[in-house]
Amino acid sequence: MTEHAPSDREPEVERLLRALRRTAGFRLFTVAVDDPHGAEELLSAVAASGAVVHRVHFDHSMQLSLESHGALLTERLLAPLIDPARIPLNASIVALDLANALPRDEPVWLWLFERLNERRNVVTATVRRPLLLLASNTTLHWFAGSSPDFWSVVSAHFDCAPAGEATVHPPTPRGAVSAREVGALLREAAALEESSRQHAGAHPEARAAQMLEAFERRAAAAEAMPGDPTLRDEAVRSAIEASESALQADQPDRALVAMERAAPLASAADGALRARAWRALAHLHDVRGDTTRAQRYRDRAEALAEPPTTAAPTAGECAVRREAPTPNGAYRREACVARPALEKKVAERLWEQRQPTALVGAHGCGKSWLLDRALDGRTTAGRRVHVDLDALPRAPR
Amino acid sequence: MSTSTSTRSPAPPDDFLRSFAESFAAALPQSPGRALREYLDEWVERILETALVAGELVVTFDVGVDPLTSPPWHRLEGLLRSWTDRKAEPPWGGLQLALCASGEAGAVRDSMQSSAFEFPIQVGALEEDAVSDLVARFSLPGGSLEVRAVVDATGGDVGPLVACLHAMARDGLGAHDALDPRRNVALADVLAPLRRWLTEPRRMQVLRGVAAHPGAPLQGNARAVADSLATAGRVAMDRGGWRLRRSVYAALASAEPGS
Repeated sequence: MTEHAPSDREPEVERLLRALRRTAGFRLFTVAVDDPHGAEELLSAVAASGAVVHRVHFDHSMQLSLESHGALLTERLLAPLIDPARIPLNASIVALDLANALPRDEPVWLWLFERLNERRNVVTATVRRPLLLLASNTTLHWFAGSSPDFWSVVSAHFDCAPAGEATVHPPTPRGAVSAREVGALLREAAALEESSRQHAGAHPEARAAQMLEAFERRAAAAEAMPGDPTLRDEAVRSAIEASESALQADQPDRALVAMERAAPLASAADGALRARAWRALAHLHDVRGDTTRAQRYRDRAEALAEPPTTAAPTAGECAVRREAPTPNGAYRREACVARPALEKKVAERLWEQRQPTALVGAHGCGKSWLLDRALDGRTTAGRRVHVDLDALPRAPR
Repeated sequence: MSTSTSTRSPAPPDDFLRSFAESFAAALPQSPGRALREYLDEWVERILETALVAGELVVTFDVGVDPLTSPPWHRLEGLLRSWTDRKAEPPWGGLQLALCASGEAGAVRDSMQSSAFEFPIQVGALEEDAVSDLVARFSLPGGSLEVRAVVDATGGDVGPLVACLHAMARDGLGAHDALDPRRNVALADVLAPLRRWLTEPRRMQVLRGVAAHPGAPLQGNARAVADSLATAGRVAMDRGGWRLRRSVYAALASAEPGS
C-alpha cells in the first residue's frame, strides 16, 4: 500500500462529495485512487457524508484469464449494473470499485470495459444514481480506450491518487484501430524499419517504400492512443526519416504526403522535435517550389528555436498552456474564464428580482458554472438541491 | 406543513412525475417504498421547513431541449409555476428555482414561453472580456482577433471551440490551422462522431448541397433531411433558404481528413 498524507487528496474528496450532493439521477464520475485501501478510505468518506453506497466489487488474488473468469466477472461486475433488482432501493450511490485491477490482467479488463461500453445505455437506465468508477490511473486509461462511448459521458474526474502518480490523460481512439491492435502495428513498423536498413544505399525506392509503410503504422498507433507521447514522438521521427528516404528516392510528393500526415502529431510534440518536423516540411515545400509555405514552416521552426522577443515564459506560464482544457475532457473549474456581465445578470435575476431563472445555451457552454458562481456564498450544500431532468425516463407523447 | 398546501399539489401522477419525485427524494434523506403523493408531500414539506430555518432554498434543474417539448414537462412546469405563484405567501418566498437548459436557443425559448421561466438568459459565444481572459490565461497566439475568428467559426459550439482553443494553446496553431481538421487532430476527433452520423447518404448529400449552395431552397425529401440536420444543429433555415449553421461544419461536407 502506498503511504501518503491524507491532506494530499482532501480537496479532491471534498470536491467529489460536493458533486455527489448536487447530483440526482445518473452521472458517471471517475475517481483515480492509488490502491484498494485508498478506495476503501474514499468510500468510507462518502458513506460518512450520509450517502448510502452500494459497492460493486470483485475480490480476487489470482491472475485473471478470459477463459476462466470472463463469466465470473460478468456476473460480479456487469450484472449488478444492468439488473435493477441487484441495486438496493435505499442506495443513493453505486460505486464500481476496480482499485484492485492489476496490469498483468490488462486483456481481461479491456474485455470487460468493451462489454460495459456495449451496455452503457442499459447501465445508465438501470443505475439511475451517481455511479463512481474507482480505479488506478492506469485502469482508467484502459477504460477510456476500451469504453470510449461510456467515457464520453463522464461528468467529472477526481484525482485522489497520491501526487506522485501520473495524471490520467484518456486516449481518444480513432478509426478502426483499437488499443489492442497498437502492439501489432508497432511490431510491424519495427520489422519494416529493420528491413529498410538492409536496403540502405542499394535500393532507395524499396527503402523509401518500407519506411513510408512503417510510418503509416506508427501514425495509426499514435492516432489510436493520442495520450501517449512516446508513440506520438516515434511517429513524428518515423515520418521525418521516411520523408528523407522518399527524397533520396526522388519521390518528393510521397515525402510531403507523409509529413503532412505527421503534422498534427508534430504539433503536439516537444519543441525540438516539432522544430525538426517544421524544417523538414519547409524543405519539402522548397523542393516543390512553394516558397510561401516553406517560409511559413521555416518561421515556425525558428520561433521554436529562438527565445521570444518578450520575456521568456515562466514555468508557471508553460504549465498553464499545457493545462488548457482538453476536448471532451473532464470539467475543471479553474480553467473557466470569467464572464462578469453574465454573472451579474444571473445574480440580479436570482437575488434582486427573485424570479425563476433559466440559462439557455449549447451543452457544455458553462451554464451550470455561471449558476454556481451566482449561488456561491448564498447557499450551502444543504440548502440547494439539484435535479437532472434528462436522467428521468420519458413518458410517451 | 399545512394540509391546504399538500392538497394544492397539481398535476396527476404519471411516470415522468413519479421519476421526478423519486429522483428528488434521492437527493434528500428518504424513506423508500412510499407512495408518489407522499414523496411529493415530503418534498414540499422539506422545502417549507428548510425555507423557514435557512431563509431560502434553491432548486436547480438541468434539462435538454427534448424534455422541454414533451407533455410531461408541461405538467411539471405547471407544478413549478404553482410554487412560484405562491411566493407572496410565507415561507414560499424562500424558494428559488433555477434551470439550465441545453439546446438551440430558439427551440428552448419557444418551449419556455408562458412558463415560470420566461425571459431566459442566453449563454452564448464568449464576450470580449472572456476572450481577453482566455488569451491572457493560456497565452494564445494571435491574440483576441484569432480567438474571435475561432469563436465565430464554431459559433461557440463547445466541442469544436475547445478543440480549437486547445490546439492554439498547446501547439501554437493560428486560427486558420486550428479550424482545419487535417491540421488539428483534436478537432478531427470532435467532428468524427458527426461525420459518422452523416454517413447516411442523404444526410451527406444534403449537407454538401447546403455547403455548396448556401441559401438554396429544398423540397420534399431533401427538406425533411435538412430538418433533421437542423435539429442536430448543423444547418439552419434562413429567409427561405438553408445555410450551414457554423462554418466549421463545412469540413464535414468535405472529404475525410487525410484522404
